Amino acid sequence: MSETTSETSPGTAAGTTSDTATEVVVVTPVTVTVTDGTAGEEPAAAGPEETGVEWAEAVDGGAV
Amino acid sequence: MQQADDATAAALTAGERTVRHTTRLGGEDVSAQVQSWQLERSYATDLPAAMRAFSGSSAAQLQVQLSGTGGQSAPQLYSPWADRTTGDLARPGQSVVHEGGPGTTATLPAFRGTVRSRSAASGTDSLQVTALDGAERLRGPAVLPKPYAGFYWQRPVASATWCVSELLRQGGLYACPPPRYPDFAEGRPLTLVYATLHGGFATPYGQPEILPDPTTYTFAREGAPHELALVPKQPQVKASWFPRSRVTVPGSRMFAEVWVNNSVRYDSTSGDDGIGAGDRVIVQLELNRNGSNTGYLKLDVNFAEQWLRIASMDNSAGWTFQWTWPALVQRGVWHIGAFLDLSGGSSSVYPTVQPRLTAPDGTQLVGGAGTFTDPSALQPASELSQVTLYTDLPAECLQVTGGLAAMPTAAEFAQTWTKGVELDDVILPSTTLPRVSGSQWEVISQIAKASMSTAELDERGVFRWRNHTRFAERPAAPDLTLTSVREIASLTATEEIDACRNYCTQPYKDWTGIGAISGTTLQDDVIRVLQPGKTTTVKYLMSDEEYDISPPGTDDDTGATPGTNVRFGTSPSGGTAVKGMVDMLVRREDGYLVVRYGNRSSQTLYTVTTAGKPSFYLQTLKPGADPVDRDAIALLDDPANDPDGVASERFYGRQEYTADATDWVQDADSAAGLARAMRAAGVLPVPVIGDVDVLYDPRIQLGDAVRVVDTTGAELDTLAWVVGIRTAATAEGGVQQTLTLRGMDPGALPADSGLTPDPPSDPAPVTRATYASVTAAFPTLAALTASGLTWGEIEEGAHV
Repeated sequence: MSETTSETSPGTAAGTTSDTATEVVVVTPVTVTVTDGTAGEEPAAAGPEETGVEWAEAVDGGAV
Repeated sequence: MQQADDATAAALTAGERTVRHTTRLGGEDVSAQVQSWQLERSYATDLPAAMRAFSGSSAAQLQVQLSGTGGQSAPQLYSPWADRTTGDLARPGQSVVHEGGPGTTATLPAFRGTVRSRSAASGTDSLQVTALDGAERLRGPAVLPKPYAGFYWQRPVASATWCVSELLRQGGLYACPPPRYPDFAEGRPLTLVYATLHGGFATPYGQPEILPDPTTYTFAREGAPHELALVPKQPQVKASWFPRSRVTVPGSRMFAEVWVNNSVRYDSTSGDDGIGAGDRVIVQLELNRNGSNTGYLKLDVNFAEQWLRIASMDNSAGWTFQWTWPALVQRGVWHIGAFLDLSGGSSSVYPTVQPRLTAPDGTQLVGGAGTFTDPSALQPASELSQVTLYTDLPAECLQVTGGLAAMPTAAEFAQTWTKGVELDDVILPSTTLPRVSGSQWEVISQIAKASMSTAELDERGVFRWRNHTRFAERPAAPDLTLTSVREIASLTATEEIDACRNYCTQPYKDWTGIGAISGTTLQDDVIRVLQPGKTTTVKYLMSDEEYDISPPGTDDDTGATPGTNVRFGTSPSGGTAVKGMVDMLVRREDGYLVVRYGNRSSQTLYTVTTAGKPSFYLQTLKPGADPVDRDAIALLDDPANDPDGVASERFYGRQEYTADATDWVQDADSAAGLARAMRAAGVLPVPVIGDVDVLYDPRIQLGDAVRVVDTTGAELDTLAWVVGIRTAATAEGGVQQTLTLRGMDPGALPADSGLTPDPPSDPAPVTRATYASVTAAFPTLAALTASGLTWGEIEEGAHV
């Protein structure tokens, strides 16, 4: 998996934290609202009974 | 030119004079009530009117005079105060479709749009309806994202073509499947990443993070799954995006999908595919765990080996499931998707994964769900941090959706949408996206003018975009031939010096070498309390000038978290850092940055640092400098190989044209290309063939190339572009069609054979004084001195 880590990602602002962040804040928090959280429904995975499909079972592919 | 059936083509060839039309308002056929109609299409251009090039947008307008029916007058039925049961047929915004054709044959589409206005004159039996084409659907506010990745990587992040595609999507005109759940709604699924790849990596949802080197890919229409695709020039070209919501693991169900075409390669027509044996595409979801650890969920398709694998892993180890279908041998457009269920568990989860594909022949391939059991595949608490595409194949329309309850059905997978957009090759690559204001149509029109392109909705309501490159090649054969023997009733040809522009300047913004620096920062001044199982939304004022930020990274006390970040603690005084328990969504809305925290844990959490201070920290990025204003100039620089240019400067002098400076042109190559296109169009003045009255032919479209043959007066036989069409019909059935044409050829070079043109100036002759005339007038030096005249006065002879 070296390809996933070999390239430097900017992150939201990686590599810039040492820059002089001297600008005064112009962003001001104004409101907070709280709403109910929600729970998702249970999934119903597609099955081999689905018509018109070519079905293949998952085969254990082993360690990466 | 529109394709017509054989009967219609034969009728037009035979010079059929009678015409039939059908007009529908609100889906009702009102053809019998139409008294007269008029349809106009033309390009608005900001180039000198007579220049051979044309650009800009075209919005068609249809005017229809409608009578009443059933013993009731038109005003009674359809005036603004008429009863809604009849009046809504012609209300503003109502659908209008108009078709026409010769004789009794099938009709061809002529117009598809909506009513703009209706006007009923009382005391008459006439209602005037004015309708505009599909451009009316693009009156919503134009919004473009503001990714920083372009100047961060100093690589193109988008293009004018991508912007056009995105603006059309906002207006409901699609070139590829639209995002599944674009709008945020509590408790509903949400599109986390949506990248069309239509000429750029920018996204309306999510934002690009890693941009590939532009030498490793191109964008091409040929072989694109839908319209325009990212085409790798080397194996495993990589691009990545931040999701707009950092959903948590455990606790999430995600669906990742992409369209690819495994039958084409980069420059496959020349046999040089430039890719090698690659036949693989990977969509990888990266999960940010504690510290610098990362988990991966990887959808991996290898067409050469005919398998699909889904892996759950980290940097060093993992486990994989494999599905095998013989159908994977098929070549063509594939739709690949995987449902990733990580909803179970509280502090870790064994993912359940299941693939779904649609083959080029339409076959649905569905894999059985597999749940990992090997410890190496276990995903501990983490958050979705980025989505990465690795591809050998042309790819288009990558989407990741969060919150789906289950694997989409075949119909849901295909999505219900209509393709109504035809783009052109990618133009004007951009490092940053220009700030825009106004409607989507206005911005599309601006881009068309800036890029010498044309934008229009055709007779079927399909949007078409054509680049200036259409001028580069002269059509081998005209779409239609118009002759004065039969088709042309009248014609006026005009040639003017204003059409000559042989020194063309295209200003551009040069972003070369400009990198990213820190922009605005904010340390929140309130510790936010996140109740268990609830969501908390905080809005921060954020200027539209700021570049986009992504959802904050989560600080877990194991190292410094760069950029925008937040720490969730278990107590107001700091407590223990918590990861993978809070979904974070950011969106920009009405001048605010909206951050939404969804606490899925069973305990109250706080946005607090280890020192008991508010922990939310925001940091934007901005360019390190303003772009430099430069000009690209096209002029006569190779006289030996530019006879047109030499003749132009010899016979017409140097004629300058400077295009408007805009933020859309951001690199030297694009600017030089535009300048050269302008000069090529204007180097020699091309006659304008105006107001050509022709025999009605419903097949003619804007942008068609027609051959005009006039043997009655102008002795003309030339190719021309159709840049304006006006068709009008009266109740008696007579139809008049008038074309505005822009010639393609300037004709033979001027030679002035046998002519001796007069010089440009002819000053009056001045008689010079001679010594003899001076001595005659002033016999002595004393006389000359006494005259008081200067030498100039004497020399020019006025006094001698």
